[in-house]
Order: sequence, then C-alpha cells, then structure tokens
Amino acid sequence: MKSTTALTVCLSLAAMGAGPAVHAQARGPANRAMLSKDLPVETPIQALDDATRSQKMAEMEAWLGRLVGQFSISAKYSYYSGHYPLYGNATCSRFGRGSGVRCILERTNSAPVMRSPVLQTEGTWAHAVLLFVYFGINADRLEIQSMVVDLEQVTAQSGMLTGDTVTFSDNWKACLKGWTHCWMVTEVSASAVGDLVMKAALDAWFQGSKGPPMILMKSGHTAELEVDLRRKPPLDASAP
Amino acid sequence: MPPSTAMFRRWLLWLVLALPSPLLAAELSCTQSPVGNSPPPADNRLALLDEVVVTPRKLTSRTRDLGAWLKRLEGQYSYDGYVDLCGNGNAADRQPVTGRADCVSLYNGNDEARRSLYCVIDVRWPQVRGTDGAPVMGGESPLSPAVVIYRVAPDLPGIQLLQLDSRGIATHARGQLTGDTLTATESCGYPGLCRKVTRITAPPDSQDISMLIDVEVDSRRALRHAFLLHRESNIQMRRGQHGALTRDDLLIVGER
Repeated sequence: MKSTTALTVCLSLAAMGAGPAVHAQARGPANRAMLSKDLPVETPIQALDDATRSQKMAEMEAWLGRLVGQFSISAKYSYYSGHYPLYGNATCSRFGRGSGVRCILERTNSAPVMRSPVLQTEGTWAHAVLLFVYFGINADRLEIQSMVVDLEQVTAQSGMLTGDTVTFSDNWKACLKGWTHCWMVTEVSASAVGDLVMKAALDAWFQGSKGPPMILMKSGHTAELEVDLRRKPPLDASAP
Repeated sequence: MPPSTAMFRRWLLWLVLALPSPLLAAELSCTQSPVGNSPPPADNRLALLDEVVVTPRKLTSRTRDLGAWLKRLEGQYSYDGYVDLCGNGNAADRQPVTGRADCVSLYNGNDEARRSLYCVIDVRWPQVRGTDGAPVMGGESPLSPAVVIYRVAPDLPGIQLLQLDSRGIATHARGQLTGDTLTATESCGYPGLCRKVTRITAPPDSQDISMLIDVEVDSRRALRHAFLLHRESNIQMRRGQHGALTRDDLLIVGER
C-alpha cells in the first residue's frame, strides 16, 4: 500500500492554513445552530412497515454500491482567507460481505507550508485527516453511517439518503469537546454515472477551551474541504 | 405462544439482525435442558465467561481514568470463547469461536479525553442454520471482518462504541465504567423490548480481556457472545508530533 500522504492531509492542511484564525472572533453556539443545516425530519422507524423498511434498506445498499471503485481526487480546501487545491487518489472497496464500504484517501501534491503555531499544536497539522472513511447502514435510524478514522481521532455521523445524496449532521456538538479539532463528513453524493462528491468540514478549538469552536467561515465551520472523486476506468484484466 | 406474538417477536429479531424478515422464519432447535446441566468449560480461563462478577465499586467518571482504561485494550489479540445461539447457557448450543483483533490507540498524548481506539477484528464460528436450512440469528459471524471504535465520552461520563460489521451494519452504544468493567447498552431498534448489552472486563496489567455481548428480547437472553481475548503482542507504533500515528502504521492495523 502506498505511503503517500493522506488526503487526509488535505484536511489538515486546511487546518494549518487557518492559523491567523486565532485572532478571529469566535461565535457562540446559537449562531452556529442557525448556520447548521436543517436536516429533513425522519419518520420514526418504528412507524415504518416492513415493506418500507425493506425498500429503504435496498436503496441504501444500492447507494453504497456506487461508492466502490478507484478514483482520482481533485479537491479544494477553503479556509477563512482563501483556498488551495489538493490532488490525490482514493480507493473505495467493499468491507466484509455486505454493503459496507471502506475508502482510503491519499494526497499526491505537496502541501503548502502553513505557519500556524496555535493550530499546529492542536493537532491540525498537515498529515492528519480523512485517512479512512467507512460507510455502512445505521439500522436503528435507517440512515447511512460514516466513520472517519485519521491519525489521531475518530468521528462518526449518520445521515439520511435523499436521491443521490446523503446529508450528514454538521453539528459540532457531535465532536468531543476534549478534542481541539474535529473533521466531519457533511455530504456525500454518488450519482449513477459514477463520480462522487464528498464534502467535509473542520471545526477547531483552542487547546483547553470549553467553548464553541472558532468559526471563521460563512458556513459556520473553521474550514471546509470539497472533494471531487472521478472514477478511473476499471483495469482490463485481459491486458498483458 | 399466540400467532400474533410469535410474529411480533420475529419482527423484533429482524430489527436485531437488520436482515430480510424471511430469514427469521427459520427456527433453531435449542437444547431444552436446564442451564445447570451444562458441563463446565474444558478451559478454566473460559469459566470466567460463565460468571458475571458484580463488584460494588464506584462509577468511573474522571476522563483521565476512562482514557487509561481504554489504553488497556491496546494490542494484538487472539480470540477464544463461544457463541450461545439460544442464550440459555446450554453447552450443546455453543459454537466455538476463533479470531483475532488489532487495536491501536489513535492518540497517545497526555490528554486522555482525546483517546480513541481503532480496532480491526476478524472473529468466526461455525455457521449454523435452522432446522429448515434457513439462516438463524447469530448463526453466522458478522464480525469477519469488523471495525470497532471506542472513544472517551466525557459528557456521559463513559465510553462510546461504534461498530461496522461485515454485513455493513453500523451499531452504536454508550456505556459506563465500574471498576474494570465497561457495561454498554444499545437498542435493537425497539427500545424496551430488545436490547444488546456489552460487558467488557479489562483488569490492569492483564493479558486477558473478557467480553460478554448479550442480545435480550423481552428481557430474556436470546443470544450470547462470550469472548476471551488474549493479548499476543502489543506492538508499539511510531508516533509523530503530539503522539499521532504515521499513515503507514495506521494502514496496516488489522494486517499485522
């Protein structure tokens, strides 16, 4: 397996870029609540009949199947004072014998050098972020479950599938406040054509802070990552 | 049992398994002898799994202590134990378990609130089918492979668990630590009637960890996983700045 820097990196890169953010004003939870996406209200699963449950399960299984493949990555990392491009590769394969999927991301272009003494010490340096992204079905909620595993932490969120897109909660309260940063997958689109779009957000705190994260962007996040994953053609097994 | 009750129970089991309901039409022929007739396990270590030792100790609430307990789970393990497909304690209904686990702490610094554990496991037991040849609850391992994530939950205070199994089903539980034992409970989709209870006992400085995972329906144990994990090694990974893992090392978790 290649040892190239993870796209994960991208994410962290981003974080590093947000160094001057230290001087920005942190806003409160109420403001963040307004900025957070309003997720559609789900019918309690207890109220669903077997046929509806089965249909939703089948839809989610089919959607998860669209994630499988090899992709080239073109990503944009945005932070309070700008953005920069990131490139890389992703391999998404079945995990186990069911519908679970594991994506391994890696970055291939060098990371811009960022000087952010505060954020770097909080763990948002360049090599840490979105190494593994696991997807499965949250059977209790009948939603798609994502799990991000990077070099120093994990996050987990579930989101409802609507059409081709799963929208995950971006509520920073889902992050443990003991952490000083938190990457969250906020949206994943998988069209039937084959390409994917994955969006992630970063929230960062000052070390030791008990308050809300530093909010520096209009979205309400410290930084964001939008990743376009273009499907590579399948390898021709008959080729020499 | 009235037909309507039987149908409802099957529906609950479907929720537990998140499998198509026709699978639950299968019936498993369980041994009807009393629990007390079970022969003792051949391996003395496994006898520990037959006991639930309740020690009146104080709930662990300090984040530092929760993180320290999680760190006890680090290492590479082999699995022993059994799956009791009927949950009634009869040895005849037990299937022997084999497997392995690789657990690594993602953060290794001094701030225990940030500790989280990433485990890749592969646990198997012989496949069992119902009398009609159809799948039954617990008859096939959903843990080959599976990913289990543990992290400190200071707000509980306790530990959170998240598992993605080999069927692609994700489950989430939260639990509290008393003494050396974490007890975590999760719903099977219908709170109050069906629940999964996980008890993990990890004594300090021990090479063995016990896990009891019970599925209870209508307050009756319907399935038990009794695992004894023996630490075969605890390979320490390289750590970079602030104790973070390297990418290369994280990629081989579960493949060592």
